[in-house]
Amino acid sequence: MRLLAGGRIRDTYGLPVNVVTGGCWKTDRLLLARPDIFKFIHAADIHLDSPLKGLEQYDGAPVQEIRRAPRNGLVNLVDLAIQQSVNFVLIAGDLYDGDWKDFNTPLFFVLQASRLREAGIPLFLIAGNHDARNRMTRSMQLPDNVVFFSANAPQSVQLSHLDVAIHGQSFATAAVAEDLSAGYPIAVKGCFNIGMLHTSADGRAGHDTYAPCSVEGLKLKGYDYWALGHIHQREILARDPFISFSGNIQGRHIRETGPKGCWLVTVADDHTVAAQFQALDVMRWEIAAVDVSSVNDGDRLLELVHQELQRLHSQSNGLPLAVRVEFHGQTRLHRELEAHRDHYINQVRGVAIDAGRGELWIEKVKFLTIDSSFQQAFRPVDESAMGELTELFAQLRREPDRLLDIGVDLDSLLKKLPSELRAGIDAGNDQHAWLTAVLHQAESLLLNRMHNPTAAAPIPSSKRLVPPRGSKKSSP
Amino acid sequence: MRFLELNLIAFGPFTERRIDLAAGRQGLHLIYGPNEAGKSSSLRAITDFLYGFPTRTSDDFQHPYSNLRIGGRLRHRDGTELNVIRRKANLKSLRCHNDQDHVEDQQLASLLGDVDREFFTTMFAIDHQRLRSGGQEIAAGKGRLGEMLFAAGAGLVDLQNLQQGLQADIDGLLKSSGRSGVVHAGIQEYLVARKTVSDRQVTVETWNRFDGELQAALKRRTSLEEHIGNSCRELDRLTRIHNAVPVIDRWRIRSSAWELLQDAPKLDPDFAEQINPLLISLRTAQTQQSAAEAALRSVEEQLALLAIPIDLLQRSEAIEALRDRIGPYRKSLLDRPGVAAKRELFEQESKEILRDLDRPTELSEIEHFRLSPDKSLRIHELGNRQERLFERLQAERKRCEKIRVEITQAETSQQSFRVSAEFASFRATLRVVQEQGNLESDLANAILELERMQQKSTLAIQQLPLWSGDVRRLESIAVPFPASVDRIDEQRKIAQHSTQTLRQRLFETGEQRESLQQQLSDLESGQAVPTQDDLVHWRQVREVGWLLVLSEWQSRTCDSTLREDFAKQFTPPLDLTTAYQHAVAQSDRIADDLRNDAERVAFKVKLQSDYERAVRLQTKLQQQLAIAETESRAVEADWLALWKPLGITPLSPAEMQDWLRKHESIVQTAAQISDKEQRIERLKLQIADCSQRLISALQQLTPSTNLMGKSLQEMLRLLSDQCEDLQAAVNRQEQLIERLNSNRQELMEVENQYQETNAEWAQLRADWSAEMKHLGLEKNALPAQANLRLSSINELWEKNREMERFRTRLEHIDRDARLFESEVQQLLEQVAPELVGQPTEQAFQILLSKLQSTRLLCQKQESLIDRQSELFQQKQLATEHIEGTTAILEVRMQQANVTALEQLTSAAQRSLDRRSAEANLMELEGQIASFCAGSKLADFLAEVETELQLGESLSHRIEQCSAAIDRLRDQRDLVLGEISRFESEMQKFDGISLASEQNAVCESIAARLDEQFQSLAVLKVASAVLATGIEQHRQKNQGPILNRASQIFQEITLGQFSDLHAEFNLQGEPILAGVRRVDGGGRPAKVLVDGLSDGTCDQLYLALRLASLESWLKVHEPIPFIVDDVLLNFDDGRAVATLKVLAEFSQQTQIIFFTHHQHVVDLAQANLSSQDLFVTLLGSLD
Repeated sequence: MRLLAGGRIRDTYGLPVNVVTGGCWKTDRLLLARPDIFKFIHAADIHLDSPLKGLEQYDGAPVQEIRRAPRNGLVNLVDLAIQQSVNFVLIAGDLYDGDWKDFNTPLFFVLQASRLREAGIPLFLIAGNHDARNRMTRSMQLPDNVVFFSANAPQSVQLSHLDVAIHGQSFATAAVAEDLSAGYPIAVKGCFNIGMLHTSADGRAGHDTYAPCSVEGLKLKGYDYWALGHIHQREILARDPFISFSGNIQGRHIRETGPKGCWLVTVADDHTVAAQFQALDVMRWEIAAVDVSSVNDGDRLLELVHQELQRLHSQSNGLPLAVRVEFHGQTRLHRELEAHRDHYINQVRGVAIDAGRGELWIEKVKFLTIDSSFQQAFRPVDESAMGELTELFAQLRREPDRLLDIGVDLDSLLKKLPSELRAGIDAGNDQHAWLTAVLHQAESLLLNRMHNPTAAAPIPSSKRLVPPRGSKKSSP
Repeated sequence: MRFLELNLIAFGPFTERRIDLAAGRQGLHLIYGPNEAGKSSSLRAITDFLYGFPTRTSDDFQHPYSNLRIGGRLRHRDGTELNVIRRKANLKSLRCHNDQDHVEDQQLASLLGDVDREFFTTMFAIDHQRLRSGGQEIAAGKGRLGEMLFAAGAGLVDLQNLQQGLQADIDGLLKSSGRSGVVHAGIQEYLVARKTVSDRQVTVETWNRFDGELQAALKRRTSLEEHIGNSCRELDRLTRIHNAVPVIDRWRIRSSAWELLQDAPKLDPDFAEQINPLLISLRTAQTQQSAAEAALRSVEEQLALLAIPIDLLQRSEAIEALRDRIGPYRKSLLDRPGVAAKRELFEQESKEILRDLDRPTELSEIEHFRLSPDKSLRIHELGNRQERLFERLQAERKRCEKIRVEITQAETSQQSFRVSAEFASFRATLRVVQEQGNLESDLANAILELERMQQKSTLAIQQLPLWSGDVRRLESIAVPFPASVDRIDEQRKIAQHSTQTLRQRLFETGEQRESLQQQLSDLESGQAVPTQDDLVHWRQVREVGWLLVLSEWQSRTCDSTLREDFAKQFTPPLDLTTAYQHAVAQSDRIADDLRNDAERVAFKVKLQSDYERAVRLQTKLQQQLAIAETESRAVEADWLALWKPLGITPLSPAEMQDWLRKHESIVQTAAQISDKEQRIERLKLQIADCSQRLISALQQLTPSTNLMGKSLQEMLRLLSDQCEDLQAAVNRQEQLIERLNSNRQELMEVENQYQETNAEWAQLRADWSAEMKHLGLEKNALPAQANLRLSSINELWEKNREMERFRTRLEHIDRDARLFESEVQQLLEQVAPELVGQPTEQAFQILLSKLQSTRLLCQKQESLIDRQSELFQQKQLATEHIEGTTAILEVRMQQANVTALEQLTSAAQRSLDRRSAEANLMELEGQIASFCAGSKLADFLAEVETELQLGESLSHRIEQCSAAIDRLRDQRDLVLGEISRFESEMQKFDGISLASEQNAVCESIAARLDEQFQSLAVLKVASAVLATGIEQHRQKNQGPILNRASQIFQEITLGQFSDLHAEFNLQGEPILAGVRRVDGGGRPAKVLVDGLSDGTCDQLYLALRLASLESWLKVHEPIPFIVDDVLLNFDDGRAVATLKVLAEFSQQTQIIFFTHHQHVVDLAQANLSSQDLFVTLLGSLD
């Protein structure tokens, strides 16, 4: 059922639904007794068909598992709703990904919504910033168990048989700067009131600021539950009333680690809320931090990696993992690692196949070690040949613009990349970090090749090269 | 840093091989070893010692990994020394020289000035191979100066390969044209994948377009199908009318025929079939009636002729009962004689047995021997029990007698045992003494030990230096605490170390000051170097002069005093104008000089500044030294004061520590001696007490034994033996008593049992004699006799029973025969008196045949009576049938409205004709109705009439309609095709994830590209930094290093090359050129690098290396320079020159020169001073 048309319509159960003033809807289910306890699911940020980022293919990586990951999270959500026989499902915005144009995506959503329809479960949706940007949101005819809140004004739906009132408003445009919650109606008396809102709350790192609001402001409405969306990290802002972000249902890149899913909310007769997290993801992101301070050789290093990967794999409940391996610590192995990155990356991938029994994908290997030797030998005052190089690298780190003086024009080089790939390297502060990493790596590579002329790294083949990019900044 | 000593404790072929490297200020240490002497191992040992063993090493062929050790003693420039051992371990591989305590790696690292392994091996180690490579690199590099200087400065040998390798890697990723390489391929792949994603995406517009067209096609289909329906209905109507016209014509003809038959009677359709059988049946019944009457009369006549004897028939059952019994009657008459004979035989045999039993042969005697089965069983049982009881009685009596004999024997033995009552007290004594142990042996040992300790103590006191006196005094004195000694020792060491360090630094500072002074005077010796102060001075003079000139020019007045002062500054004094000109010229000249000679000016300023700093440092160091020496003296005084109370003048703290340890040891020994003496006294007392106890016990046991002179152990053994004997006797006595008691108990039990058995035996005998009397035997008869008698009696009774059986059977035969005969006679009297008196069997046969014939007559009579009744019934039936049929036919005649039976058939035919005409009409109307399609017949007929009146023929209209339908159907099929196409297009958009999966592929390519791009950036940066570094290094170092390298090259080439300087090649790159001296005083020739021989290239590389190294050493802690046989390609002259250069170089840092070649050693020894050269032989001396 859609909220676009006025007048009398019939809902999923063939029972009449009325429009009342102020955009409030009410169902006439007088014959149905109100249950003592009811259950619903609060999810958000599905970003349907948004791909997992930064996973470069290599032999032995669990390729098939990730191909369908963007959709299987939603399938799991519907399965859970049916299995738990919940009374309704809430999706607090960003059902679709902003730039994605394939009409198969909403068709797939309709298929899943239809499964809920067959199970007699209504689904309540608000549009988030991504949905507002995506034309498909407005074009798809949805099954009649789906209630899509209007973007014009806050609206309310009342489920009489449960004494539940759900209030919500969709995003009209991709960037909503005002506090939408301010316009929400005050709580309906005698009902369990739920507010659905796509918001950045009082601001979260890595997420654009949309529909900002404060916990105090939300509390003033007198609702019993606020189902928030937009922030991908699960977070409880308040417990009385329960105000929370459910987070997204499937991590999409290395900054979205750990289990992802939804809240399964049980409401007792006295409106007491018990929210239980339910994982829905089909592939999980983890960071394996390996301290190599006390490690002197590569074998031991790989042994530590193996142990850490095995530990992560054993905790993943059988889900495939995408793992970023990070080497930390002050070690004499630093230059060896930097200079033979490709070799160690391939070794780590091999170890991952063994430790993860083919269910573990090495997203990237980060070499964050610090050299425990050497840097003292060439002081800036040193005018020796090696000191000259060290000093040059130090200067470049201080003033990256000097790269142009020595004939390295990274900007023109960047222009050879397709624009969307360039964006990943260009983005603000990350470019500085990227440049610093390049300089460190170049220094190690150069010094290592000078001292071990036979150990020059082979030219990386297109198949075997290096971990995927992860520095791209993408707004959720 | 320099090596003082390298100790190959356990490494490669070496065990505890020390190489002394301490000689000289730094020294050129020539280490000579022939092949297999371990030169290469020693070389490796230096690196492994400084930086640790690699994970895998081949130097374990003699010593396992765990035992590998290299020791070394190093000295920093500041005098700090480090004496450590390196072992093979992952952690804590550096240890103190005792090989126990861990030493932090940082201690060694700080001595090395943080030079790491790679830098050390490239910069501070050179072998023949690297020298050759360096030379070749120079030759191949076409003399490019920057690369040469950089390679030499960094100790590199293949800089060009490195540069080319980087460029090759960059090209592999992305050619500068940007059209090939891995990154380019990746970008293309990404773009293709991106395109595939967008191809696979279904846009909202596409969806809407297909959906709109599908909806329109569906509408068209609905409209066409409506048209088709209407046309079909019209076609159907016309076709029906067309088909109905002939049927309607036929219907009209039949209608007029029916009107002629409509007055005929309406009989049942099967009326004719109903009356025809009735007429036939009436005629048949009349014939049957007359035939039955004739047959009835014939049967009645036959019955009247039959006569039957009734009384015989009435007795027929009795006669047949007797006929059944006549067979047994005949058989029993035949068996009777045999049965009588058998009875007679058994009677005779019974009488025989009675005779054997000594009884009269009368059959009545048998009764005497009637025995019940219980009785005979009892006699058998009594016989068996009698035998068993008798055997048991005998056995029990024998057992009683045997036990009695055993008891008597035991009682006799018991009386012979007697045991001493004091046995327990002897045993207690024995235990007490045994518990003390071997006291005599302990005593002897203790005495021996005491003597030994006393001797040791005396000796230790005599050996303790600085001391005379006995133990007691030594024990009583108060010695200083070892901690105090340590403290003073530490203080002394610190004081000594600081004094020594200060002296060393003072010395070095003095030298430095002198050197600076010398350099200053050298600098000034040619041409005075102007200074900034000179410039300032002359500018001031110029300023004063200008003021004077100005004042004179403006006011024409001038202070003559000032003027004179001004003039005086020039020699000879000049007038104001000239002096001012002079001052201006002088200040300008100094300024010019300062500018033109800036390098020398700066150098002079630096020298002066260094010199002043050296003077200040020297003064400061002298003050510090004085303080340190005062402190050192104070510590010495403390040390003496510490030992004064003991009256001892102490030696060094280490020695006094040893003294204190010895003192402690003596005091401890004295205490042990005292303990030992007390123990000996206690042992003696214990021995006396024990002997007293043993003597007293032994005298009681064996008073006659002589105990004089017996040792404690011997007496102990005697007492122990006695006690063991006594114990054995006691044990035996206890066993005897136990056995006696058990025998008595057993005897009592056996006697009781015997009495019980005896009583049972008497009872049995009494029962037995009673039974024997009954059998007629004596009371003492044996069981066997009794059994024999029993079997005879059984046989007698058996015979008697057989005889009785045969006698009873005879009686039964006679009785049955009599009964049969009387019954036959009685029957004969009743039915055949004529046969009475004839033999029974014969008369009975005649009677039976009579009965048979009478029965046959009876059967005939019965069959005639049955026939009579049957015929009567037939006659009755025929009569009834005739009456019934006539009644029915009368009713039918009324229905057909006729008066005679003969008219019935024609009436039935007319009725059938009427029915047929009516049915025909009905059928035609039905056919017409099938064309009506629901409308009434009359309406339909009217509709047909109307259609027929229209001008156009029906067939033509039907054809037109049919063609229209076909056209509509074609149109509809086209629309259906479109719908199907649109639907199949729409089905492709079923929510499948092709595009999103392709998007994942895109992302993974992007991930790969990102990393490849980073690698590209890294390589580009590395390559550019290297090129820039090379150029900058050249710019900064070209002057000083080239100058120094020139000098070294000149020396090594024995002056053949007088100079090295920079030129430019055609590309404008700076290149190196040498200046070769031409023999015979010709003009020196410029030679480019490609004109140099291989050997000269090597020497050029060495010169550049040494010059770079010198430059490095100026600002760093010196690091030993390890040289491995670099003189192989040098002729003797150049080899000697090189050795001299190295010897000179060894003033700056230690040089360790390894060689396999004796002549190198010889050359060195012949040409170098012994203050610089130190030769160590490896291998041959081992």
